[in-house]
Amino acid sequence: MAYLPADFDRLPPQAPEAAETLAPSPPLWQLLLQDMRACLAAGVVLLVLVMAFIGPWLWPQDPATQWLSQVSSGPSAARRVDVVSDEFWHGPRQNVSALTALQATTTQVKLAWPDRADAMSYRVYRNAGGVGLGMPLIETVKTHYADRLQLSEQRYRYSVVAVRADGSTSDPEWIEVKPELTLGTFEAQLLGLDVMDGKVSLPSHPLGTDALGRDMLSRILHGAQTSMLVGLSAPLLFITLGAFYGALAGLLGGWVDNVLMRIADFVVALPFLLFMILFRVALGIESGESGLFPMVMAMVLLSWPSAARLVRGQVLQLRESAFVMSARLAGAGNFYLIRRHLLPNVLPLLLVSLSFAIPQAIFTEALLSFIGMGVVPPTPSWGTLCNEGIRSMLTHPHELIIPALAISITVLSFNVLGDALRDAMDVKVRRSLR
Amino acid sequence: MSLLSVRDLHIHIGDNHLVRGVDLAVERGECLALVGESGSGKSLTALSLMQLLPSHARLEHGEWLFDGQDMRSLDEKAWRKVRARRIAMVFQNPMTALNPTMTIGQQIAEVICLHTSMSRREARQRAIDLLERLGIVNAPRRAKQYPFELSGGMLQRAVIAMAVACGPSMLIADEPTTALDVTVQAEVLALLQELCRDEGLGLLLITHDLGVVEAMAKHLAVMYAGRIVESGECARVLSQPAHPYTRALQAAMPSLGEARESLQGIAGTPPDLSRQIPGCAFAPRCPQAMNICVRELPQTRLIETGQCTECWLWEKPE
Amino acid sequence: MLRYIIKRLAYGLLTIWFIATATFFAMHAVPGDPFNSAKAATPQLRENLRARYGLDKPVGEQYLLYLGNMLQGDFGISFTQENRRVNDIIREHFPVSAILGVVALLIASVGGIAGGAVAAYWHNRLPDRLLMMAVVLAISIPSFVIAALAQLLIVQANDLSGRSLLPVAGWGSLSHLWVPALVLGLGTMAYLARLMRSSMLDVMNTDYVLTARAKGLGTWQIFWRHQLRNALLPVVTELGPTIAAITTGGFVVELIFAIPGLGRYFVQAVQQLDYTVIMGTTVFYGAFLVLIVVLVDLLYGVIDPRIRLHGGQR
Repeated sequence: MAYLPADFDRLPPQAPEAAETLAPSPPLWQLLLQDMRACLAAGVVLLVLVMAFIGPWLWPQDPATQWLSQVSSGPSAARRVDVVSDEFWHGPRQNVSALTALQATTTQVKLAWPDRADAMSYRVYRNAGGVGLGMPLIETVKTHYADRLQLSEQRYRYSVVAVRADGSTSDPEWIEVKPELTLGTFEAQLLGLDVMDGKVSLPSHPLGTDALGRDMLSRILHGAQTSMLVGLSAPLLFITLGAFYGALAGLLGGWVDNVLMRIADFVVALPFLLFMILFRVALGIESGESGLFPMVMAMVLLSWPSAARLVRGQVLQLRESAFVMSARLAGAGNFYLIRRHLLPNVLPLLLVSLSFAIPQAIFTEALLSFIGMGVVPPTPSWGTLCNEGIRSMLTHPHELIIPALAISITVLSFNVLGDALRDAMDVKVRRSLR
Repeated sequence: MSLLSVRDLHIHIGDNHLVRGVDLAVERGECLALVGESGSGKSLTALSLMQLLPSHARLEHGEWLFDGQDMRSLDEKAWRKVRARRIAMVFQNPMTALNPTMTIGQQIAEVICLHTSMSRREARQRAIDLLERLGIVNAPRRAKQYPFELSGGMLQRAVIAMAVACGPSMLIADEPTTALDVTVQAEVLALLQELCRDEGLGLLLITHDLGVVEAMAKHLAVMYAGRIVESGECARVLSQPAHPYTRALQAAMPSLGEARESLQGIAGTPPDLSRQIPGCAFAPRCPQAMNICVRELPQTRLIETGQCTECWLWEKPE
Repeated sequence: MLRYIIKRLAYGLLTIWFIATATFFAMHAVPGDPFNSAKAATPQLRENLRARYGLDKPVGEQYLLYLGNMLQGDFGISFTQENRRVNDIIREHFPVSAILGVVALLIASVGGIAGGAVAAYWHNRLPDRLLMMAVVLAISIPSFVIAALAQLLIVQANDLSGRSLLPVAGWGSLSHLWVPALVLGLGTMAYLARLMRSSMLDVMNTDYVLTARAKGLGTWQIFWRHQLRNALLPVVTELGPTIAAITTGGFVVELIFAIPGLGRYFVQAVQQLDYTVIMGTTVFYGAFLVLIVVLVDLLYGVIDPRIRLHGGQR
């Protein structure tokens, strides 16, 4: 292969390459924006926060109103229903030829049956769902009965058995009934509803109602308010408090630091949940209070040391670091050092601990409310909702699952956000070290 | 026949083509030094010779013979019998290369137990003998100590003891003295040299210190950006470097006895190996670069002084 | 080493004293009188009760008396069940909690350590991603929800099979133990798996693992001899908080599964404001956990020669 002489000409002198400069690492929020799961989690967190604070206003149903006619019911739309008399029923005007339901409403199901010559009395049974006799309702000598026992819109099978003088029983006669949703006049009056043309308007319950007939959606939204209030305020407070405490210890140093951190060590040694309960009891609540304040206080009293340790460690590390030394030599004042060097280093760390402290606080609130040591019952919180839901778990699992989902999704989002934040910080640290 | 000969070795990790056609030959009882700045691919080359690269690294060889055996056909199970028994390695930092929760003795005995039929007790005794032979005083006590209790020099002796415990025929030492105090460096090097001579070990010494090379190696290979740019007998290469990179490397080295005005760094940075480099990788930093240099890779040529080099300067028509 | 042990024990005792003091003053800060009108109908009866429990004495004297009794291991008599000593209550109910806790801890550590190691070995591949997803889920669902769902599941399974596969609640046999222990250990297991994964990843990248490979050791040999022990070090430091979490987490599980442990008793005592039981249980648990932390510290010394030989300077 032949080469031209020009190939061997010297290259023109090259400008010496500048030492490779790294692009300044992007701010934290930009790193987070690049992270899909972080965006998703942040979206959910934002949604939960917004719903907690404007939700009750968007969905203005009272979380304490009890719709006695719709206890533990599934999702329902808004509708108009009849108002029926809930007066005592004295029996049908004329005899019936077979077991019939003269009225089938959720206020009462009026049953009548023909008299049998050999019968001493009749037993009435109700079965919700199955084919057997089910639950005995009454033993009566009459040939009619009005069932008013917690009826809901579902299929019931009523059976009537005649009891003979010798105690033997006849084959049951049965009928299937699906009561129509109605309100008793008394209930309509109690709820203050306007009756027009014998009907009232009922609001919708998109998530159904709980065991006391209260609207689940409204309770979840009000519960979110409580849970978020505790979940945000307590971590904010104890992290701020701890940060100041730690900074003080770190800056003062010497024996003061020693004593301050020993105190922190002692507080860490207190078993958290036990002392949460203890402090919660000790701080007490007056009647009419929701119990939020003592819980937040107890949490703050017990949780500040972790932030204090974190900040103190950073302060000590910075005090020894070369760049603070050189800044000092250049005549930088304390305030300048704190603002310029301490805060930028500590704030992201605090942000990460905050993002992990929030789900922890939400958990603690739920747990305490669950065992009855949190907010006091009329105030809904996700914990109390779960507590109430667990009692009717076997028959109406949605009452447990909905608030449980609310807690889990929120905590999951905060956890994912915290992880993403920590990862983003790691990237930042790694970049600045390179 | 050489103890080890490798032709046309390529290593890819991800998109980076980090070793781009390396040829090496190590003789019995001799030391080959592989020199280059950090990132030139010398440590990767060393790890690849024991099949110790991370699993996501891709390897290609033109030829890979060790002791007459084709090493390309070995599977992981066969490799386990090669490591330590036939080829052993000494790592850069003895403080991190030893397990902090096991005693020195245990760690040496482990490798003996693995490759021989000795009992644990015999292996323990052999470990102590080895330590003694490698110049560790009070070996029985030292063997019972943990790595954090010993000094760097002593630890590196222990690491070497571990490497030669099963009588390998080749030793790869990856910057064995970089992490040590200067005073200890000489002792460790002397030890390696002695082993090389007495046991007929082939030694591949990886370093960036030309002073070490001068003292130790018979042959030298200079590596830049994943290629060997110059190789040959140590004395010749160092006295009459043929490649501009070798010269630049020498100029950047402080040396005793020779008062120099100033040390010269090499301007620029090593190339980005995720991109194809058509010409000589050193061209952008080379003070004598020519038009052809950036376009086409020069051939390896044996020059009059007895070394091999790949540089267009030697192809230049007069 | 001995000096280190003594130092740790002395510090532990000081901590227990602090816990006892905090408990005493917290209980004395409770507003109102423990003997409300419901319990003591007449003022005379009330006075008698106050005298019986030493509440008529000044606070300082009460405190000293309390500390003195506690030093002798006497936690007093229950407020609500006047014939029961708190010591007897603890003696009766704590073993139940302990069995549950130990089994939960075993499940959590074995599962967590194995899970973490598996995730690290298949780093960024399917097993890792699945495990980490499960971990995030497990730490995001409250334990009481998991407990309730587990119960629901048992009920469904029993219904489907038509016989009683597992008891839904209660205590007394091995079959009562597994589900609550698993539920109790689940959160901890997730936490430990996460910890183990990251520490395993660190260890896998160390030089001494490369050395071990260069020695010709196989994957399993490297795992057992070189990686496991070193990867466990950070996990062991977290054992103290882990045991604390399982102990207090036991309250809820005991409550939901109707297990007659000390945790359930404690919650009942709090609901009934049974002061002596609350105080006794708190101090007992506090002391227990402090002791565990000290033990874990000493255990750490056994595994890590650097601590064992240099006396606690990490």
